[in-house]
Amino acid sequence: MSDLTKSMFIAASGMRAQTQRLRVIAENVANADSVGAAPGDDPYRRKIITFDSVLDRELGAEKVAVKSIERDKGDFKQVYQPGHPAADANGYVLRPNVNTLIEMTDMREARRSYEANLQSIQASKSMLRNTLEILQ
Amino acid sequence: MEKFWAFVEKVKLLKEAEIMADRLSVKDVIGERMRFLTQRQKVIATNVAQADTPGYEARELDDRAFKSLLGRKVARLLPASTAAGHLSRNPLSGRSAREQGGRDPYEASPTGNVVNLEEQMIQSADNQLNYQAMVKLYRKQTEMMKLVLRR
Repeated sequence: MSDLTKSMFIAASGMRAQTQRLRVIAENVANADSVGAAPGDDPYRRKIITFDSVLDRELGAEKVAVKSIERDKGDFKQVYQPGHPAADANGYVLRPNVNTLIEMTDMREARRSYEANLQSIQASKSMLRNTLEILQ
Repeated sequence: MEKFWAFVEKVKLLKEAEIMADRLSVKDVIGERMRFLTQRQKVIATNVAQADTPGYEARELDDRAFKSLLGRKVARLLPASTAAGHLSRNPLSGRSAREQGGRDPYEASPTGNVVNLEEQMIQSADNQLNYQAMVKLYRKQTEMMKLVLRR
């Protein structure tokens, strides 16, 4: 397999990883208001995705893979809402540790990386097309 | 019969052109350069793909390998060694392109990732342009051969 084809596979693995990152971000944003139903219930805990480089022996190149999707250990926010079914004795409700601003920034970064990978696929493709032009 | 001799003449001319091309070895250099550029494209693609991997450092292809090819061509002109201690070959020749850590990383993310996407994009564009130039050069070279055949 030529290096150009390999680079397309590598970029594709990067795009796959970024897609999974976007999925996790979407989960976080969608659950930004998921609180418990009863006092003492934990609300939604934010998820964090990490990447790792993995050597693909068949391809002979390093690909990107999702290492793990873990939970954010950060503290929950507390909001005073005495009438809420999940409020504790003091009237406080635990809310998810999701910061929409952080999620949006993360999303932009994921998109930027995705586009960069797409660009490198297009670069490889145009180089391959150039090679084929020799035959014409 | 006349046709046959014309054909022989053509083959002779082609052979001559080939020998000349061999001496110039333009095609060799172009081929080697294209191989180098494709390899470099792979390295760039890897860097871009790993732009969010913690602890990953951008890599670069050592272009001394390509220079070594030029060195090899020069080596033909170097004097032959007749005694121990004589310089017999170009010290740069015989190397293959290998990956190495990028030079002087000036931007590292908190996770320890050292990949500058903009820099990689510039390198990729530069790579493509170079590759296109090589393809054009190769076609020109082939056109020269065709010119001989058309006679």
